[in-house]
Amino acid sequence: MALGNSKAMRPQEPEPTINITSMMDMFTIIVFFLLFSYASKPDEFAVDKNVELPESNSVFDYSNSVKLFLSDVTIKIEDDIVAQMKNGKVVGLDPAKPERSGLYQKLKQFKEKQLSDAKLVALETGEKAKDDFHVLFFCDRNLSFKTMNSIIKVAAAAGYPNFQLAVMER
Amino acid sequence: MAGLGQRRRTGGDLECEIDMVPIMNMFLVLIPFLLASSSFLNLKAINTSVPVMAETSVPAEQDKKKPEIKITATVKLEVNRISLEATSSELPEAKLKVMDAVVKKDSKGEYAYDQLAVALLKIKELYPKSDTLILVPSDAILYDAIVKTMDVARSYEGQKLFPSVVISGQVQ
Repeated sequence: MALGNSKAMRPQEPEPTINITSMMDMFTIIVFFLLFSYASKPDEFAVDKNVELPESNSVFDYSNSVKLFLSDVTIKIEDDIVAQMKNGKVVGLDPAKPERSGLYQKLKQFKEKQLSDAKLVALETGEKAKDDFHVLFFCDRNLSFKTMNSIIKVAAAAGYPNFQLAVMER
Repeated sequence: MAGLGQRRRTGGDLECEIDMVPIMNMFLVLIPFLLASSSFLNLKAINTSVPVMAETSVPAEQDKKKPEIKITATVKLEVNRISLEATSSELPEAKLKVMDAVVKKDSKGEYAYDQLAVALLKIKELYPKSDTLILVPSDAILYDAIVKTMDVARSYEGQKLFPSVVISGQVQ
């Protein structure tokens, strides 16, 4: 009881306040940093973990196109695995007859779909149908040109002579 | 005026504290939202193509009066060196040969891209209308080296060189 009494007798301590000014400063810096790196449409690519894109001084943005992911194990178009890779070669691809490969057929499907979509848009707008479609390549920086070239040739045969090479901004 | 100042002093300054808690709350909401929509990987693209058959057009009357020669630079990217060849149907072989160059790897085993850029710059200065470069890498060349060569071919020290780079495989 004596204890309680002595506590009541003590002079009342002022309510502690936390100084949040430094925290505000930190938050302001973070908000500004994030505002500068804000992207209205964040990049969402399912690039393999072992694929390291090369760095470049290119300033061009990629456009919405067919995305081809090339790793040392698989070839993916958008989200579908279309071919397997073995020792830098596409399994089941005959360079003399590329039209028999799954890669060619998938690219051809995309091309036909893009063309029919472009025709519909042209009908609506009354403008000429767009036909300059391209493939956006995601390749590992250590991939040899031999491997790349075999896929470029198939893409060109499927109607994609123009490419975009995905790179990291330096 | 003096009276005003005195009155203020006599009244005593009240320490004014702004309540920053609502601002903090707003920041706490903003930060997760911005974190979710931030893009930390700056992805860019290099436009390129493979060689395609094209019909040559007959030059217009105006073009005939002012012929502007275009040079097509062919860069062969080999394991130990880069060789540059200039081609054009409008210039004699002897004039084109002067523009050819060979760039070897340096002591660190890296291509001397600066030397290649200087050779390309010379062509561009002589024939400013030139815009096409054909890049011919050999099979063993890595993608990273191709991208670096394309970077040099497009621009050097802020000067535009050959913006249109075409990739071609070696003819066997």
